[in-house]
Amino acid sequence: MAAAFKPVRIQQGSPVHWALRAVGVAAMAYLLVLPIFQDLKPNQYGELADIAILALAALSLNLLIGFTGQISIGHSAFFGVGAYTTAALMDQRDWTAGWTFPVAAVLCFVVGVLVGIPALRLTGVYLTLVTLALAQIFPALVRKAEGITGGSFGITGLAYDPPSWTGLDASDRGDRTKWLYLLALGLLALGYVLVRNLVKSRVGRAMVSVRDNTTAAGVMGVNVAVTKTVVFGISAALAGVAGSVFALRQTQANPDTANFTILGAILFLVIMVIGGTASLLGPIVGAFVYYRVNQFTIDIPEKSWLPEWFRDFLVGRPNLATIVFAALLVVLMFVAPFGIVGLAKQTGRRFVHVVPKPPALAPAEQLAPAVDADIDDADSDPVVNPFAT
Amino acid sequence: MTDAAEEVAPSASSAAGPALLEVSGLHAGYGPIEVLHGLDFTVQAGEMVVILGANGAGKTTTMLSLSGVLARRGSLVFDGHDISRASPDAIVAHGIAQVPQGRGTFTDLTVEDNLLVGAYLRKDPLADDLDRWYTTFPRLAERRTQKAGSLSGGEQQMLAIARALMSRPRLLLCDEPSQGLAPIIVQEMFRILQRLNEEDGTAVLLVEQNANLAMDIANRAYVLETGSIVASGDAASLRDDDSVRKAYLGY
Repeated sequence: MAAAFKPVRIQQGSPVHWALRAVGVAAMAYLLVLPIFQDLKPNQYGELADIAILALAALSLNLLIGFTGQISIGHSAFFGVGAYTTAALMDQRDWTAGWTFPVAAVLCFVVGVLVGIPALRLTGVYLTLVTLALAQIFPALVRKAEGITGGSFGITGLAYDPPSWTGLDASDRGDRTKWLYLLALGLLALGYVLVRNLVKSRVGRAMVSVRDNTTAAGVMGVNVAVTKTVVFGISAALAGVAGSVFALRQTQANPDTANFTILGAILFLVIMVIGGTASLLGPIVGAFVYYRVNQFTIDIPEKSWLPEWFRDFLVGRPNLATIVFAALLVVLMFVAPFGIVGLAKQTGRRFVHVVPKPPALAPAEQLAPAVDADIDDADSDPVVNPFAT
Repeated sequence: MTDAAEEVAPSASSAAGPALLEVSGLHAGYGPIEVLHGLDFTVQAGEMVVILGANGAGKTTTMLSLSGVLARRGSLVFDGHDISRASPDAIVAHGIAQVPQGRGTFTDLTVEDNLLVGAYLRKDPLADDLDRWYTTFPRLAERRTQKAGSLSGGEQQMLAIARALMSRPRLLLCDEPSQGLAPIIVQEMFRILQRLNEEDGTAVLLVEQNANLAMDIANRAYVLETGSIVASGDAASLRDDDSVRKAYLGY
């Protein structure tokens, strides 16, 4: 690839670098926060809430798969446990929705740690099989435990009125969906900050070391067992909270809901991979793109710019949308094998190189001039760099 | 299956005083397959000891069982502490660090983060240690913020050594550090290990196939053959032993 010009070099931690980061953060904030102040239609707020819920679920999976290297295709179960915790507490104990979130998080953490224990003995596909079993068992279990879950009928009529301090009108449908969006966004932000701090900390280094070389991590004194199980628990808790909001957004919890079955687990996985594995912003970007592209493929038969014969052909063939979506997914993985965030970083690196600060002791002239560092603007992600020289 | 810890033979150590590491009747293996059939060996404080052995002799198994990441039986005493049943992190905390076979680089972490994982259990400030190893290995300083996976093999081996030393061990276990490296780099690395051993007094237990070089810098050597120690002694006298020389030194 012949670059037409030399990329700009910016020193890590320099004012320019900070300015670049600030622009990135401002852009993200603009996109996510702006809808709060706009007067969107209720269904638009609903879409945004759905995106934030999916992003939170994918974020939880990214912590586990991306940063710790344990593959789970059973996160739909944690999502479901969260949803049913909220639903059951509201339905049977008349709890306010807000108080059910911490309960859901703790419950899912415990279940997650329990499931994480086999992860100590099982790696790779064998662990994945255990989580697969979990995904399969959950809906069946829900149908059986009628006393708590309402069995096949599920629990309906969940409502979370916006509290008065928000200034939102509880009787207005738009305001109610807006409140759910605010709730989902707030929890997503909380989850993001939690995952970010975790990944950038000493524990985060331990997580990546366990992923990259479990034996070496062990002989360095990293407690592999504790790291694996606790991360499993935290990841499950985040997925559970996403499920809680999902139940509110659906106003019900029903065992037939796709997100509570293995389909949901795979959906979260797909979103994580689209956005970028082991990238902090990946799940958020992935959820946006997934939702929009999925909506687009569903709406294809209504597009007026398509030829008449093609639209006629599509009528009564809803599966075509799935095929188009799958094809787009294959193309995306071909163009951006490290997800959209990975692609963005790769592209950004053509224009801007962030050069690390010279070490305090080594003389500056000793520095190799072409040290290629991770570009670090909006997503200051310490871990993913598949394009290292 | 009897507990080997209770039928331990008296220490094979010939040196005076209590050893820094005293291993007796070490059994270890993978599942039903036993690889080590009761090893006895010692490492004195400040000593450089090499375990020689061919492929499949059990060198890596020995190292992994010493660090506690592999199930083992037998008695392991380090500096007066019984570490026979200690967990890997407790062993590191006691002062044993390992340079694992094949370097064990955390490829997606930066060079500096790799070093910080080496100091995972330490709670005190690390700046001096970082400075020290960056001065010892200037290439690591240059590549501080680079992903460790992008380093060359030799650089990764230096990183693995520096990373292990970040925990300030009193005993450094090195599992075939010469593996896959150019001869000139192997020599440089052995010089560094020797200097570390002489200047800091860090005891080093080295397992190697590269017998000639290892015998040059070691005080004592053990020869490991299919899970048992078949010869031991001063590096110099072992070197003169005909059978050892023919089998392991190749001349």
